[in-house]
Amino acid sequence: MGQQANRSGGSLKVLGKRLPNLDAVERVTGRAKYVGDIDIPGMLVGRALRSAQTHARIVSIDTSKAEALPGVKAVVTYKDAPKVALWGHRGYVLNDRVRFRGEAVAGVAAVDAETAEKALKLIAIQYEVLPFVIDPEEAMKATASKLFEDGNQEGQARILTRGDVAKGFTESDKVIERMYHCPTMWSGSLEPRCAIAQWDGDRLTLWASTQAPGRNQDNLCALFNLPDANVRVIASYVGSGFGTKSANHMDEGLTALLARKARRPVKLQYSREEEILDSNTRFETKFYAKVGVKKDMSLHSLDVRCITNLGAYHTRLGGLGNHCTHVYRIPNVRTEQYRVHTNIPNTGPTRGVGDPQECFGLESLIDEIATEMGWEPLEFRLKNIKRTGDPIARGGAGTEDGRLVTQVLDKCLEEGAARIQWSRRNATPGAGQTGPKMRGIGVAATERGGGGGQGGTTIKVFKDGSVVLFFASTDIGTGTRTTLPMIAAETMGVPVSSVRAVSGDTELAPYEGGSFGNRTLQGTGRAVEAASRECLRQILAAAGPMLNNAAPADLEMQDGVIRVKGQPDRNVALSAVMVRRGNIVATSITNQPQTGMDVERTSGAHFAEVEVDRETGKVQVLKYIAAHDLGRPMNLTIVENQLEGGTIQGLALTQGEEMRFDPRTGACLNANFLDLKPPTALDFDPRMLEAIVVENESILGPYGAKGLGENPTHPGMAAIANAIFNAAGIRLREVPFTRADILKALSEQQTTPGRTA
Amino acid sequence: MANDDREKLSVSRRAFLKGGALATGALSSTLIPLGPAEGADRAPEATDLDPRRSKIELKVNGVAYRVDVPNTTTLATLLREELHLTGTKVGCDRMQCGACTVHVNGRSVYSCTVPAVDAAGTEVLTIEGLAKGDTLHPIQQAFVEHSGFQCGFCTSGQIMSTKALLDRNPQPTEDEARQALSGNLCRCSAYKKILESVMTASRLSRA
Amino acid sequence: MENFSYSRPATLKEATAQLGKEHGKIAIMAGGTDIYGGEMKDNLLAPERLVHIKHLKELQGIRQGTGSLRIGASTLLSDIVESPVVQKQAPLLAMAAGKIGTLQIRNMGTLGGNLCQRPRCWYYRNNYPCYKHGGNACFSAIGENDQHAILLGGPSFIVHPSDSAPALVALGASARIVSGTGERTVPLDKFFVTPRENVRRENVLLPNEILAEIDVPNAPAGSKAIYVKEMVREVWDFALCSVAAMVTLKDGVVQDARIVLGGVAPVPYRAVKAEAALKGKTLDEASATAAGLAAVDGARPLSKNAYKIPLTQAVVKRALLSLA
Ligand SMILES: Cc1cc2nc3c(=O)[nH]c(=O)nc-3n(C[C@H](O)[C@H](O)[C@H](O)COP(=O)(O)OP(=O)(O)OC[C@H]3O[C@@H](n4cnc5c(N)ncnc54)[C@H](O)[C@@H]3O)c2cc1C
Ligand code: FES
Ligand code: FES
Repeated sequence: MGQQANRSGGSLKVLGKRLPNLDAVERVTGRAKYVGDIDIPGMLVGRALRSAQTHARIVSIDTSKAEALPGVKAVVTYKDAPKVALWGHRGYVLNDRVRFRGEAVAGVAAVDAETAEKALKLIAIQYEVLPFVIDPEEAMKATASKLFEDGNQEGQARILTRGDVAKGFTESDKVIERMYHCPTMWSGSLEPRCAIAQWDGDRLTLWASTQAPGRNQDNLCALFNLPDANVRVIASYVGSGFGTKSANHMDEGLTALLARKARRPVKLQYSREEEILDSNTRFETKFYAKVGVKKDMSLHSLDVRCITNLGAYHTRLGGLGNHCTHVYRIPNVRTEQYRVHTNIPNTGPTRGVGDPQECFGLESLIDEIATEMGWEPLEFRLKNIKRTGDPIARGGAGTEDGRLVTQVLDKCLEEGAARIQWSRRNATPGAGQTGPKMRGIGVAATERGGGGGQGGTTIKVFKDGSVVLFFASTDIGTGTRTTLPMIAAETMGVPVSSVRAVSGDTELAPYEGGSFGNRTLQGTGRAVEAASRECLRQILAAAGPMLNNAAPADLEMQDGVIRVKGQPDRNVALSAVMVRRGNIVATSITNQPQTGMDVERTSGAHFAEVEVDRETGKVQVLKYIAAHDLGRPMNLTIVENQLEGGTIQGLALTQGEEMRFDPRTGACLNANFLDLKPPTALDFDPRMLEAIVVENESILGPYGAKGLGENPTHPGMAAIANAIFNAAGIRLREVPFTRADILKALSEQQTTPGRTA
Repeated sequence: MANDDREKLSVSRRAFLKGGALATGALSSTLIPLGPAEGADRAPEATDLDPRRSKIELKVNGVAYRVDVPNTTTLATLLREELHLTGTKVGCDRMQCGACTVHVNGRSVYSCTVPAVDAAGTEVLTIEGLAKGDTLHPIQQAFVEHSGFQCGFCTSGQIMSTKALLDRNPQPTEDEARQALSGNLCRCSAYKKILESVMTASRLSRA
Repeated sequence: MENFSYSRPATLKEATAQLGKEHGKIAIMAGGTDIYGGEMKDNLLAPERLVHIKHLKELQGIRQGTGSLRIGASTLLSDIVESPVVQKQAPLLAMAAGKIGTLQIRNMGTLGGNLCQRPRCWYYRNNYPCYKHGGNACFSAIGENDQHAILLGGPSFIVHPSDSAPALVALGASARIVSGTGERTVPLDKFFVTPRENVRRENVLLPNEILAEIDVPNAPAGSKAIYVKEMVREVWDFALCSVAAMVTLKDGVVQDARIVLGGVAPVPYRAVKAEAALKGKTLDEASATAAGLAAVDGARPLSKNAYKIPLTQAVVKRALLSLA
């Protein structure tokens, strides 16, 4: 493979540089059209009627008054909704049952917003109110109110075992048990969900704010029983997603249903409150963990029981990742996951899926056992982490049948420790500090799959030598509309400025699911590299006759000029070749490469220095280092931006973003930004945050790249909890870390003196 | 007006706007650009037929308009739906995100919560008013150079707040810059690159 | 939001003439950040008519009175923050107003609106049928109450959300209130009412009255003041607890002290016991700590807000020490 040559690094012309995003001008001038900005003549305003019930059965629903209102063009209810489940979802676009407060029970399309809103009020619904349950452990009880006929548990418990944990604990020298809790947390975007549907006979076009146009297309085809060729999904500018837009959602189907019934295009724009209540938010986890170690500082046995609160509905994904089995060498591991439905809003994969929650649990636990044993937590980690060459499971099973390659977690830990000056930490947590402000340093490690999977692209080279790249996954702020053209420019030897990307259009590009799970750069990137190579092959073949019949093997292209190797003055411009050749089009669909035994992951380590105010309970982050493996960086500016942003999103979970439910009504009480408290520019000073790109190269990705979108969000909660412990000697096992929690823990600490670190 | 009539009207207006004759078109019955001298300091007038609608005159990016909207209309909606200036984004509609930041009479405000009737007689500046033709404003240049965004949804607001800052304080410190932009959320948390962009913007604007 | 008719009266007289006899139907809008941006958008309120007083010249601006500043109710918060005379004669107010929301909010909201804004209690804002909405329960009492009152609570446990209010009470300001039939002046610490006095409203204004002007006595010569606000976020947040503290010192000894708390009671809470504890004392760690303890004397926390007690103690102590 030509990649090998490029791996030497020295010859790269475009990749590895800091380049501005290719679509930056559109974004800074306000010209970029997000779905909500699109206007189609004759378009109607769609609105959803959201139920004020938490759990109820619809006895009757009368829409006649709404339909009679002048200006109303369509009203739909569960009776209109096809009985086709959404992606992995238990429910339909609209249901005859309300399973969370805020669930849509009807949709309206009208000539303007005022009419649509008036119509919503005219829909009369009679409910049979059912008891509700919002705590997942309550919901597991036989006596709990049932959301679904077959109960509240989603499938069987997911159990994964390696070795024998019970035996492992008896062999251990020390065993501790703890519980870590992450509540349901908001994880949406700044752009609220929005969709526009337009029918032309039995052909449907849907503009959506989605990460996954391909999945949306699949879903709409199933809903309306249409061939793939009849459904086109377009997601050009997407106001970020963080996973919440990676699964199919009811709004796309609802918009299409309304447009079909009204025979007019319909736009359904979510309000902020709707976006918070009805997207796929980050799920609650109750993580019960037991760990055993031996005196020789080795981790010996780990048993985890995790209860995941899926809320009313679920997408196919959702559960823990692989931290428990993949980060450390532990001979005996067992994880048991229960996925439980309750009457809170639907949840789904959001940045890291269950990894941040799992990382919080595991990395806090590792710190706690180290403290119990009097071990230095970094040394303990370095002694136990998996390194290149260590056995690791290839599939989802426990058995370690593969071999870990290109793993640099050790380097992440070492470089991060050096940068934060780890030796400054308190040898005895919480000790020796005078005055009300206590400082401490903590660490947390993480890992995840590097992304990839099937990818596809079509590349067109035009007569003047300009290039357009079509791919059906999306740029949700991740910069793929810049890095993928950079890969094409590098591979073909054309200037980046001559390459443009058209993303997120299922009709123009080969099928791809979408952009999620660290996948686009590797998966689509491989296809871009392959298709670019094919374009280059055709270009060189066409250039030969123009250069005294030089053999293509003797030709190369640089900066859009084809020349005979070693004879730079024998050359011809790409545009001249293309004028003679006409268009060149190449399509590539690539699968995940076969790697045999080899397993590649991507890892990272975070280090936090915090100051805890003993009197006010305030925690301030003074320094934060995020050291990551992402293979070879394709564009350092974009890489840093992703690392910095992802890191702050992880830290945000320590400050707020918990969705708070009223125990008596099941209503979410804080579905707005003021009360969810996403961080502002002042909360985590960006200057204290430093991202480190640890040198590495992937064996799988194009030019050695690995995906990186998810990982920086994982370790924040654990790194901060561990730093708070180091500062103040208090252990927080529930996020967010509120003033109330901290002041309470400090006062309990005072009343139980003699506690050793 | 019956709903269906209004619908026709708005459709024809949309079609007309598509033609790009925004600044000069005398065809629309609800959107009449005015001469430069008019439009200033005028209170809204109730529409003859419906006291819950108002005729509003205002200037946006130097162009004067007269629109007739329901009193519930916000300035953000007026800009986006009546004038088709969709660079101003709405992320929360509650003064809680900053995506809708524009300048009214030189002050930065959340247009999602400025009643359109309150904006009557004012001069509004939006993101669309910054670039001169194809030449980006120095602040925009700086955001391009540093990738002061990820998804870009907050970017118009960040840039308008940067402009408000630099108009009053051309050479801010980093702390002043963070403070001045603390009314604009970036959910992607591109805060570090945004800060770099603001500092470069200050340099470029003074150059 | 329900549609409404709109008026922009030209004079204060015209404005008062348009007001009605009950709250709600005809409503006053100043900057609109709360009434329009909050109450009406969230369907807590659907007035038939809005009387817009932001543009009234009579209600705008900062004037010199005798020994005081007279600030029109419709003056924008950002004008107050930036005003050199306010910074000089009532720096406490400038500091407190600077802590309100964000720059954009201060560019939109007015002083009068800030004093008259409605509570931020989640149950109130989610339209639960609580006392404030005419019902007969306070849902926070046995619900999510981590942000609620530890002092003077009951039957409603809201906290007063305004940042300018504690500063103005500390400064001894008074409110000039105008109606169609006349006007009255009310000291600001009598302007706000506890739920026991009137469970539905937070101040003494009648439906036909407009808060026209705030008279702010110049800070006493030799006094020093500070406003400290604790929030979950660094900005764009209401106070978990705040303190407006002003002391007059002579040779390090406290001659006079004003300590007013925000975010802990349904009204700006004048901590008279803390003030008394300070008088005649040298301002130092011991006296500041004692004042902090005295400030929360009598506090009765709900199930989730006990943390406000040590927090308030610490904030009072630190505010005072910063003035020593
Ligand atoms: C996101 C957000 C954050 C905020 N953060 C803070 C904060 O940190 N600190 C803080 O103190 N406030 C905060 N606020 C509240 C904001 O400061 C106030 O809403 C603003 O000051 C009110 O001023 P306004 O002119 O917009 O009032 P309006 O919304 O116009 O009016 C508010 C209320 O007062 C009445 N009113 C107004 N003026 C008069 C008058 N002259 N006479 C009689 N009645 C009158 C109105 O009828 C209405 O009931 C925040 C608001 C939001 C939306
Ligand atoms: S849309 Fe106006 S502040 Fe969020
Ligand atoms: S760039 Fe996405 S919200 Fe700021």
